[in-house]
Amino acid sequence: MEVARLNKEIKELRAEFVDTRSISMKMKLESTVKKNVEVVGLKPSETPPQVIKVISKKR
Amino acid sequence: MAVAQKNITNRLYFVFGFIAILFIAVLVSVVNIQFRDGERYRELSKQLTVRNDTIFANRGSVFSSDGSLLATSMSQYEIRMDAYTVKSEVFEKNIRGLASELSKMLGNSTSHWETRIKKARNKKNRYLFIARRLGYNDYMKIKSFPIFNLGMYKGGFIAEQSTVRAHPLGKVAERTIGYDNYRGLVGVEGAYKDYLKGEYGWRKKQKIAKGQWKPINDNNEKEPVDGKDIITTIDVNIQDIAHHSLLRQLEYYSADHGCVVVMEAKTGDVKAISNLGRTSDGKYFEKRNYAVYESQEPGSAFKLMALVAALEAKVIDTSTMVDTGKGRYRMYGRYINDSKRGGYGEISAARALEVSSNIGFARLVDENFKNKPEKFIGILNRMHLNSKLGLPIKGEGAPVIPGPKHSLWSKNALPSISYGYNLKLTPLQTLTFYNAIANNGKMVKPKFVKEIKSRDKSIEFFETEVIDDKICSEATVKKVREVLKNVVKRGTAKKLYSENFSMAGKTGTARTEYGNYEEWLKDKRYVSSFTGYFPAENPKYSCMVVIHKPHVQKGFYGADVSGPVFKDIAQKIYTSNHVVNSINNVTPISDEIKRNFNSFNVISEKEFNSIPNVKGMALMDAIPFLENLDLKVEYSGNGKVKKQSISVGEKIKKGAVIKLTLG
Repeated sequence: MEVARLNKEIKELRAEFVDTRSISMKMKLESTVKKNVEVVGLKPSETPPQVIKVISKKR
Repeated sequence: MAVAQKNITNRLYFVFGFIAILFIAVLVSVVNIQFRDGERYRELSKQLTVRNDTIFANRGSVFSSDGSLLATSMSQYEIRMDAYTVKSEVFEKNIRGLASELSKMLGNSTSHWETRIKKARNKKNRYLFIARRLGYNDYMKIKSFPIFNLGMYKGGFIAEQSTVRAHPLGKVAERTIGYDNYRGLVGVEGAYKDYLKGEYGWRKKQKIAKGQWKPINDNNEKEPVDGKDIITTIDVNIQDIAHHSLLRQLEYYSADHGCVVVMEAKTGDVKAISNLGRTSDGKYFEKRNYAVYESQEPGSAFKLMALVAALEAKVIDTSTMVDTGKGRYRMYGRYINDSKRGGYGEISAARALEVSSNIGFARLVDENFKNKPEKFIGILNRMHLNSKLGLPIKGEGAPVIPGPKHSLWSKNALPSISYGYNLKLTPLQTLTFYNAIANNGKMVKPKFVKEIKSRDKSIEFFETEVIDDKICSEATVKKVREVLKNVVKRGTAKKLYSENFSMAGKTGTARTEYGNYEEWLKDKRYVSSFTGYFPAENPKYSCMVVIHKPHVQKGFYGADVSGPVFKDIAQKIYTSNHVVNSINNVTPISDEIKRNFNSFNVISEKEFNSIPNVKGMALMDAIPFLENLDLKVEYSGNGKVKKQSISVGEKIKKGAVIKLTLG
């Protein structure tokens, strides 16, 4: 009985995990994000971010 | 009297005999059942009261290289309602609430749901369909609706769970991820089914009542072993870009179908693969794995192979000149055309590739190999172009490269092959060759799966399989890489050129279904492709885009139709990797800055018991200064502080708000 109950719980938790994960994954996709921010007027950059590394001389 | 007595005795004997025979028959039967058939009956009885119960193993999941789920088994729910079991006062009170929640979640109007459920109740329907294929979260939500939240008996809520194979990313890369069911063994799921499946377990159960079974032992006779997880080489982000970019081009050109594959040059890891086919209503979906199965005439994409072969044979160099004339040239009774009206005139072999001159290639190859065609074909074959890649995914198309003894051979075969006709390759086979050029001549096999895992433990790791360490000399690689770079810089693909990032590749615009030439002329059909790699120096990825039968009025050239997909992917990868600019310390040190800095230090290091004067200070100095005194700062305007709301010298109250006006 206990085993059956736990098994059912595992199944439910697994289902919850997978379902939530697939929702979050879809939201994360660039094409989804792109669509959602288009209304605000944002679009992906055409140039990469630049990291400015300052090499300072030791005093 | 005596006669009557004898009659009775006779009858008695008769009855006795009859009983005796009956008894013997019963005895024989008992012995038979007990001993002769005993084994069978005992077995039967066991079967009826004890059974082996299969415990299904969870099938493994398929992951992308960065750990996103591509395919997994999950629970799905079908929701039904016993509309009759609900008590009437509960029903009347909550039916509107339930109907409005259902309409919000599943569409249709509130009144639609209300009448539907009421109707079912009148008809005493105990199994009214509500919704199917709900995920867990939706299931939990629907369970909390009015009436339904009373449960099964009072609320009539019926949920039927089933396990299905789910693809969290939807139809993306569906043909490559594949499936393993009644429709066959497709893609990765089909190829690696033995790993995914796991092993079923079983346990003994005994019948305790009709339809009820209980386990005999505490432990399972055999524990189920869950399937292993498969980590593919797919990168979800690149896949997403590739998929949507291909879809956009297919839709714009109303093309029949297309595919795109992105491969990592060094490892052969397939980072993205998308195959989209058009349905009768103009929508696109993953119909077949075109990249893997569809062997076709590659058209101009094959000029690279021809050039490499000719360079390897040392019969020409990239600077060898060839006269392409006025764009129309007769060879063995057949005309060969170039796409530019008026022709390219006399050009070098390198330029012939840049502008994709059919005449240039036909002449270069025919004039140098017509007496020894087997040599040219031999080099192509040595570069593995005539053999399958041997992919784990089923259904790879076989390449065809006819040699002099082949049924497809003729005098025209050699020049045709030089510009990509009269032979067949699949997109993936073509890409594998380009990838080898990008990888300095080392040909690696496209790889779809990188690792097999069980929970977090690695079971098997797939190394890159090398088909050939060197398909051609380094000098040749260097030469053709320069030419491919120029294709984008100043050749057929110059529309794609970008100052910011470099790409190299070859366009292809091949005729297809031209068996009946007259008919073809009326309804021109092309296959537009772009194959290449990026960046042009030290390539990281190779990529091939093939689009079949774009709408000719909208365009059909490889650079217009397929090129943009390639560029999108190259650009995406370029922009998502940051550029590091190192600069030496260039902090300007001026006396004024030093003075200001020092004077600020002098003020800020003083201890204040009353509100200080911040007038004339810059806001960025004033804020930390005041906040260090436990004040809250609000401000308006720009520039330096003009006014402060608490005057100088007042006592500091912790947490008090000081308003600054700038100007």
